[in-house]
Amino acid sequence: MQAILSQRRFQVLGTAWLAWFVNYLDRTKTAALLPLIIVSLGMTTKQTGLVLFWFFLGYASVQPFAGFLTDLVGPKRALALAVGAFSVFTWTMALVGNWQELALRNLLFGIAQGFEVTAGARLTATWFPVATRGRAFAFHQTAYTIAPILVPFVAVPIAQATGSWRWSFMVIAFFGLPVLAAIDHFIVDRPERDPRVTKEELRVIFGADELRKKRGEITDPARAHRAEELPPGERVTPYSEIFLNRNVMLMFLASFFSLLASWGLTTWLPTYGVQQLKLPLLVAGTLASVVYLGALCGVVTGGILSDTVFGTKRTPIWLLGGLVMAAAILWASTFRQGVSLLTAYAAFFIAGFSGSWAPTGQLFAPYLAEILTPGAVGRSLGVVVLGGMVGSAVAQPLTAALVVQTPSGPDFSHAFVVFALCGVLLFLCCVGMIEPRVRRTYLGYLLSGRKEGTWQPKSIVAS
Amino acid sequence: MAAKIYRRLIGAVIVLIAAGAQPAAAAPVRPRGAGPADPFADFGPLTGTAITLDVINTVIVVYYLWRIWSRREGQAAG
Repeated sequence: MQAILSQRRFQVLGTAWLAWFVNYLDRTKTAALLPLIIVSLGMTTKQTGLVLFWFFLGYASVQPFAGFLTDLVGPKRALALAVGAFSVFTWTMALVGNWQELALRNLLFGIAQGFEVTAGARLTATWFPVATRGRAFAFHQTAYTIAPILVPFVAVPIAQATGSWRWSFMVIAFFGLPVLAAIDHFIVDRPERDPRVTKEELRVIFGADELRKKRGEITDPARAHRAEELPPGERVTPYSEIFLNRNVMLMFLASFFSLLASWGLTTWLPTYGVQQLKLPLLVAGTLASVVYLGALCGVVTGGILSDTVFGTKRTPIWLLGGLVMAAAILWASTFRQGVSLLTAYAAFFIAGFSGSWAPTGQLFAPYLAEILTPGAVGRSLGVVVLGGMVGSAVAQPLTAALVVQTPSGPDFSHAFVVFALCGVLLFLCCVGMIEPRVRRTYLGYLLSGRKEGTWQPKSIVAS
Repeated sequence: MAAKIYRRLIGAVIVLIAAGAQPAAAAPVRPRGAGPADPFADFGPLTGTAITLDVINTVIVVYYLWRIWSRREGQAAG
């Protein structure tokens, strides 16, 4: 354990995990405290929806810029900026007096939080070798599943002990400060620029050959003209290859469908539990927790399977995830009042587990680093997350529109069928993606009797 | 018979309690943790403490951002 902790790449990963964990803790605390905020500010359901929508709007709109900024100033500065900004916006939200002020500050809070994912993803892609990148990124992604499980036990007790939800915001605003100290101490943008990294670790990260050949100083792969101008682990990748890229476009679409289904499901599950399954509020709330528990198990196993069983192939995990998620949610669409709680838990656990096997759930940083180059992960991921966030924003009004009022109460089955359809569409998007390990689509590889294809990055073909 | 009388008596007591509680019920009942909309009324005498914490938080954030953004990374190792 000591040997692992002393290695610089694990220190960087631990810090990125901490930042992502606090980001999600901070983000989901608003939802956990929402029943209190609604009463305090006297908000209607429509105003509450607008407050939540403005967060997603801020988060989505900033993604393309966040990617550029990360690649321009480096992930360390981008990460620090995100953590510092959302720490400050968190306490400003404690001082709101009406829903308009809350919506505006939620927008700013969303913008601040949006800069984090591209920075954390790029750090993992740059600091880990291909062989262990999947597992490393899986560990990074556990943060977004653990934080929502823990947040009710952090935010709500503070509010109840102090008598005001505002103190939860005040206290959680301080959680970002140790993260800033950790970023300052542990994070360096690139391994070969870190004076504390050993030669042995550099050889593990890049391989001896790559280290010998490349000693370039240009860190932006879009600005370099020759491979020798770049640092180890990078290759020349012009803007056209980053943005006019079929795989990035398909990831954009897959992310849209994936997060539409995931956020639609988790946001509405407690309401579904109460209104359709007639469960007590507390039990209905645990349905969403089960989804996150499934996602936690999913991100860990997905990363391990991708690196080991699938030999660092990424798309097979997403293909399986899309189909299994569709099947689990379709199964859940048949549930009516009186369904066994164990059955409901099983279906939603599988939905959460397989839902995390998606291009916005896991493996996106390793995949983009391998299909492009680690130095272009920020910009390309900005495009991918934008798709996901548009899906998240659309999910809320779409789900509300799909709930049918029947004599026995609201019926969510149409919404669930649409979520299942999203799983199928996500699968179809992943069918068309190139698997860089085998130089063709993964299904093409299987159907051809496991023959490798001829795909090569455009820049390599051109040279 | 006795059970019936007891039920009626309990019912009457509940009605009386409800009638007595009518003015209290008319006032909005807030769950614990949901204070008034005005943040300064909500923080009450601790408003000064809250503002001080906000200032401390912001100063530390600005210090770290300045420190991280002004530092250049070292040159290539190995």
